[in-house]
Amino acid sequence: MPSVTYKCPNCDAPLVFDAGTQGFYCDFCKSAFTKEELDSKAGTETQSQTASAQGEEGHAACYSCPSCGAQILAEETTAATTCYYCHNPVILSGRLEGEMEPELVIPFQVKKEEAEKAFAQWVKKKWFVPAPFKQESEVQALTGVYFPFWLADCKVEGGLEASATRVNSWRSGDYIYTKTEYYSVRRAGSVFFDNLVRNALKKSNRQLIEGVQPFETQKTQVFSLPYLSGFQAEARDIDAKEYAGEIAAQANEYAQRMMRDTIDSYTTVQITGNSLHLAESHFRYALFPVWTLTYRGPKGTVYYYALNGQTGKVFGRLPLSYPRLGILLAAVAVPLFLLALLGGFLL
Amino acid sequence: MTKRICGLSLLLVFLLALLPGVLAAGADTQQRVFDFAALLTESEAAALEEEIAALSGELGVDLAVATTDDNPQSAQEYADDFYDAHGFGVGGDGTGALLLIDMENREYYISTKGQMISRLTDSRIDNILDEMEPDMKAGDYSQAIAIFLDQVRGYVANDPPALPQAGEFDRVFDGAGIFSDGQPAVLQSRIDALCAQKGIDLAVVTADYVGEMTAREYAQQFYQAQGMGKDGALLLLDMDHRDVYIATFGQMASILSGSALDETVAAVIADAEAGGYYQAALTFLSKTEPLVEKAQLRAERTSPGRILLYAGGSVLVGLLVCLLVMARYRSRGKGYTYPFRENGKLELTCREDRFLSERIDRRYSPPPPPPSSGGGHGGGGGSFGGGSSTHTSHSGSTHGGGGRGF
Repeated sequence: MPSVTYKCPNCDAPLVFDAGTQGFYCDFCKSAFTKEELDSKAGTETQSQTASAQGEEGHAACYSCPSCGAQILAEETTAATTCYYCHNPVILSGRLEGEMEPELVIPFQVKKEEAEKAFAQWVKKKWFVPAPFKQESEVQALTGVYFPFWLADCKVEGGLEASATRVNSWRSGDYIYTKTEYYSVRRAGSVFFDNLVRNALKKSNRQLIEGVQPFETQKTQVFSLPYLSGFQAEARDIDAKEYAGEIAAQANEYAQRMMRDTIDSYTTVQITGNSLHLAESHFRYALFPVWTLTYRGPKGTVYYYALNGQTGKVFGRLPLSYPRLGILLAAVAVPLFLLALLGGFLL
Repeated sequence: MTKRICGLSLLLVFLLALLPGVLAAGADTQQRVFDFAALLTESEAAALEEEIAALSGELGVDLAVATTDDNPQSAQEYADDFYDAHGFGVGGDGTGALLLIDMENREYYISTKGQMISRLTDSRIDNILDEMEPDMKAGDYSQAIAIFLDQVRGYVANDPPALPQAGEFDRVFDGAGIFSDGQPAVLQSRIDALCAQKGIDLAVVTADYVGEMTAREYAQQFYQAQGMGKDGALLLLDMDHRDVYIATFGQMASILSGSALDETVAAVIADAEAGGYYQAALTFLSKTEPLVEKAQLRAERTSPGRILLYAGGSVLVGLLVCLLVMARYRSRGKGYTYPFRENGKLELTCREDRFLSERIDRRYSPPPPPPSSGGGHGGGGGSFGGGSSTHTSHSGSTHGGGGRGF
């Protein structure tokens, strides 16, 4: 499994993508490079190829760390990670090649410190979170992960036919007049929808992924491997074909509604014919950034926290400390009960 | 020398002549009628003596009647002094009473001593004087004196004081006769209503003689004697000592207690002092009712069933709060919906609105008539003053009594 680590041209230490500068940063010699500089500098990658007997694309595979040579087992969809032993960023380029290469990426805009701060703030005011969750160590466990998505661009063609009426009513003397005008209405044309988003990773937490949306899809960049350096990434395992029907239905419905909106100024409208259909659809594979933190509770339930790596939107499910909740229950119920008793006695 | 002996012997004879008179005066402890004003005939006086003697023996008290038309002092002073001077009275405290008819001051006065002071209270004396008044004014003194004796017998013979028997009303006992006609009936009906509603027993009692008992003892005895309910209260207007006492039994003891009881007693006393005894009874009833009501409400509000309700309710509210908190701890996935109207691009190639036909309906509907103008088209207790007033006579002994002019 070919794996790649990007190295600093000056000192050979690993380079990571810096969300603050949107460039690349060497922690060792503190040099910073823009993307263009990196592209122009040859030999900044350290590649290592490991032919693994079992290793096949798309399955759990062994790879060797380009920096230290350690053999690491990666999960099926992991596309970028950190070496367990030497902590250098490792990009499993084999998983992002060919048809598996993403077209687009939204690089991390929110820095790790900002994410940590946002998380700390979110947790601070929650009294009913068990103490261990709030500890520093948990906060450190915030990981930046690129999740795979499908972006669909659709074109819907066709039209609507409808019968419509316009009714007016007025009074003249002792009579009320009602005028009804009958119309036949037709609309036809094309409706374009860009960047309909669909999750492309089976194992991802559906709620988490949907909770941190939306991403500003117009701000995508052309994909390039170095962006992943220093972060984790997951490659897709859901095919675009699986979404075809769903996308078509969604696009058709939107198109109908938009067309219907243009039939205005009538008192009643009745759709008599609908010939809208998905004419074209084009799926693009993209990686979007999410800061994630998972916490395994005492009973094994998983709690998560996600922060949109581009917009900063927060979504999460916090563990609840039932003992503390119990205290709340008592704190509310007992005074109420006493108050009621007192009221009974005194009133 | 013979002259001296003669003088002395004359004096001796003179004294000896007087002696019987003096002795008679001092030794005549039996006489009780002293008609110096000559209001009675001899036979009347003699009959009176006998009557008094009998009555005194019967009652165990000393009685006397005196009339005078030569009295430089007040009737009271004369009466007291007369009593003391003649040494009337039985027992160590000189228990007895004297009726004086003072023609000089046109006053008739009753003086009491010893136990008769408490037996014949001021109000009782007033009653007696009332009874005698018509005859006194008419000049029928012997009749007036007869009435006096009769009244005294009536009062003194009650020993111990008999608790009034159940009469027309079983919860209103006007022993002292201070309610006028119709008032007891009103009180009775109010009490009946209260009893029916609240299940507590009430009674209003007035008494003009409670004897040696305190108001408290009298009230309690009365309550038990009448066999009143387990929970109840009794208002006693003791006209003898002019005391108000409210006795409470059973649950009423806790309902009507403390500051509530004090307040009620104070209100009743205020009415009684003003002389409105009937009002006082009404006040008692109207103050008691809301207290009982409140107490019963409170009992209802703190019954076990209710307490369970409170507990359940508070736990429910607590749970709700917890649920709210729990909801807050999960971000509401606001389900991202694709903003298709903003993102979608519509390119219409055909936009046709073809007019087909038109139709006009006419309906006769006269305007409604204008609306016509204006018309158009929702037991503690207290004393209220009095008692048996006493004063000290010239000889230093204590007398009670009262009198009035005629």
